[in-house]
Amino acid sequence: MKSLTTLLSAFFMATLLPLSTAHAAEAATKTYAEPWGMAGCGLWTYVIKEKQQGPQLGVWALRHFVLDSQTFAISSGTSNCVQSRTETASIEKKVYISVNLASLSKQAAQGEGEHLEALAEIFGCPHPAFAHLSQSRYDAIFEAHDPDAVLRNYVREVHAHQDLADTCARPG
Amino acid sequence: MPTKTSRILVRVRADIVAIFVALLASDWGLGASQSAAPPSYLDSLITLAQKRTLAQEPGWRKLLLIPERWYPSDHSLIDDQGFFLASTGNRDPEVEMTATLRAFFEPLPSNPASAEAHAQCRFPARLAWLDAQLGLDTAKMPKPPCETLRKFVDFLGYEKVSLVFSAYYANNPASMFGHSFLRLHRPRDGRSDVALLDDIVNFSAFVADPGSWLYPLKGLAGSYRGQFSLLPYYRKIQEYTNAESRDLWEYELNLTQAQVRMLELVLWELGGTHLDYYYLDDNCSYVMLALLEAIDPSLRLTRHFTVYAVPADTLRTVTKQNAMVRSVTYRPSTHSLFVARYSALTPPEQELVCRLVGDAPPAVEDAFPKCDVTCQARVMDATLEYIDFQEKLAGSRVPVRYGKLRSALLSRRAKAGVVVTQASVVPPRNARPELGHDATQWGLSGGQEKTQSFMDFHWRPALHGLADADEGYSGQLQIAFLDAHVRWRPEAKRVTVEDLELFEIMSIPEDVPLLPAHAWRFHLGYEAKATYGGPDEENRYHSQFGFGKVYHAKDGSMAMYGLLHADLGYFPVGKSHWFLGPTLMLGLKVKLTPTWRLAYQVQMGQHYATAARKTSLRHDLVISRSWSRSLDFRLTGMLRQGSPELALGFAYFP
Repeated sequence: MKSLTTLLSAFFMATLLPLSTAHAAEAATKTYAEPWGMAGCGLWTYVIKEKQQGPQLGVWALRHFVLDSQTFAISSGTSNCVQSRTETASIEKKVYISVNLASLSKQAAQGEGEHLEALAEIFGCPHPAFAHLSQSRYDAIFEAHDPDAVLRNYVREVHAHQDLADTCARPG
Repeated sequence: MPTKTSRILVRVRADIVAIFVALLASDWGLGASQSAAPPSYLDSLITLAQKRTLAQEPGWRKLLLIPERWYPSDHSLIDDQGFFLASTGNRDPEVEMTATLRAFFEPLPSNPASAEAHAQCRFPARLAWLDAQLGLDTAKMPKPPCETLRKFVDFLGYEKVSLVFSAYYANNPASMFGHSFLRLHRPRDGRSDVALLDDIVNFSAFVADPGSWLYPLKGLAGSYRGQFSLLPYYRKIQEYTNAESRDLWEYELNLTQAQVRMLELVLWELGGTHLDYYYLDDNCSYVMLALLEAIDPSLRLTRHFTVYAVPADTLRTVTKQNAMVRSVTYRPSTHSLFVARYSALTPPEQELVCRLVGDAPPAVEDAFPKCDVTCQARVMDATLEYIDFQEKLAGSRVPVRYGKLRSALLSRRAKAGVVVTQASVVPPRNARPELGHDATQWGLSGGQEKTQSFMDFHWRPALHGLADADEGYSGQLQIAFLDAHVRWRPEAKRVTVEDLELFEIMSIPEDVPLLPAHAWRFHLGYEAKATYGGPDEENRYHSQFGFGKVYHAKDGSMAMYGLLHADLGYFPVGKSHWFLGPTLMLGLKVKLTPTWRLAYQVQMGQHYATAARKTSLRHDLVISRSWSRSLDFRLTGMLRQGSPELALGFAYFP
């Protein structure tokens, strides 16, 4: 079957060659190393070793991930899967904001949206209050289009908020 | 009288003789201990498994990712020898089962870290399946702690599984075949659904050189490794709905909790392995089918695919399974969101959007005359969607052209304090991809040329033509691979290849306000009986590349298009020679009724070869009547250089 497939491939090679510089085909996505198991413990920020101890231990080295031209590295020095979302919450916030910054900024300004709800969930905050904070303090939180700054600002604003400081499970 | 010493010596000699005799007897199979020793528990399990031919059970085969092929085969899809415990395990499920059982009984190493690599920890899905079949007595087996596995499974705790399909986008040919992956739902514990924080499992090729010209060749030839990834869903949403502007369709699968648990164990086993990625057959979507079969062996999904697997076809294979899908959810792309928001605006509001993104935009603070705060919020929301679509804004990307405008709009939008409900985007019912016809088309028709009758046989492996029913497809894309027409002329006793479209793609996107689109087409193929001139110009190979415009009726019932091509070709017969020239194509497609369609096309070309100039003129007409999703009756007519033909037949999508 592989030989037949390769034969058919020969037909397609001739036809697809002119498009070889076109947008990447769906067959393969990007050149990020997204090793298995990085969300095996729920999050994908574990850096352990270059090689796995066994095929299914699934804890690979996370080097970087690429979203078109944006490249940023996220790493953690932990050596094993962590026990709970609370322990990984700070990492999860950073990853989430980095990956969703454009969508998050828009929905924060709009005062609602799925990406905003998810961030509220990561903070462990009630959604309506978190959304209201995001909109009312938008300029302070999104003063720069920088994930680290946005995270710092969110943590500060949540702690400074009279209700959220007490009710959020993972204020950071 | 014997001395004490002599009595001891006699006893020792007797013992030695007795031991020697026993050893001899055991070598000859005569010892009572040899014949009376019971088989080990492991041996009894192996014997029982062989007696029950468990290695041939679908449950075992599918855990090894052995798909159902149209020919007998025990070969696994997995190319990583490390996944198998036997050297021939990748092609011998029985040997692999025996090796697996033996490995489960390996004694635990003293080093706890090494114990994590024990087979029971590496292959929990196999362990679970064998336990269900054989009733393993764990008291007689080693007990590795498998701490990492336990953490993995405890942390996941998925509740449901959905199959997610990313659809086509009219002007993005890279999306033409779609993509599929599994969404793994986390329990909500009574809270609202925060889908973005779910995980997805994806199978794709890991490519180190996507910019290489060899990239498509390698993808077709299986030169890249395909691996599984477990990612947050929001990661894929950024990629598909934002960066590539593709709608997502989620099909919640009707799986039991036991099957979901099994999926977690299977993912653990597959996590570190790899398959050679073949773009045509062992691709993302086909492997998803194999994954579903591994957790529910009663499913027979992979058997439907012999040579190639188009993702949309794999989706339809799943949705056609009895009660396999609980619900369908639509997730619009940025393009769809912009169209929805813009369409909901009044004409004056739409004008404000146009001004904001125009070449000479007003300052944001001056951009909303006579527009209250709610009106401003609507206008800004539509403008922001436009910007995000145009900039393909995803991740932390900074907008290039509209950076300052976006920042200013966001700040003003927040100050407005208005919370407007998310744009409601209702897709047309016929947009659901599972409703579409299958990718492969077979056709048979009989007809009459000017002087003789003929019978046509048509085969198109993929994908969709303008004459086909639009349900489940973009009515703005025509894609054909290896589209072949073979003709038998009984009077002449000849069989010829009339047309062979190696590859054709035509995009006739609908104009959206602020997003004018151009029609374009690329075609590479062979045409017999071109008859543009003398006998030397009967058959031609040619390549066409063109641009143009298209008009779509508002209700989607009609489209008219015109494209001007550069036509480069070669006449191979007689005085073979090249030609070059422009070709104008005009076309019309009309949906006459829900089941009747008409597609008409005319091509007018001027071809220059050496010093001669030739003209070509060809009309094509197809009138289709859909009998079902998989069967059309068709009347086709052609007029080529004054030579007419008419045929009646059918098109079948198996």
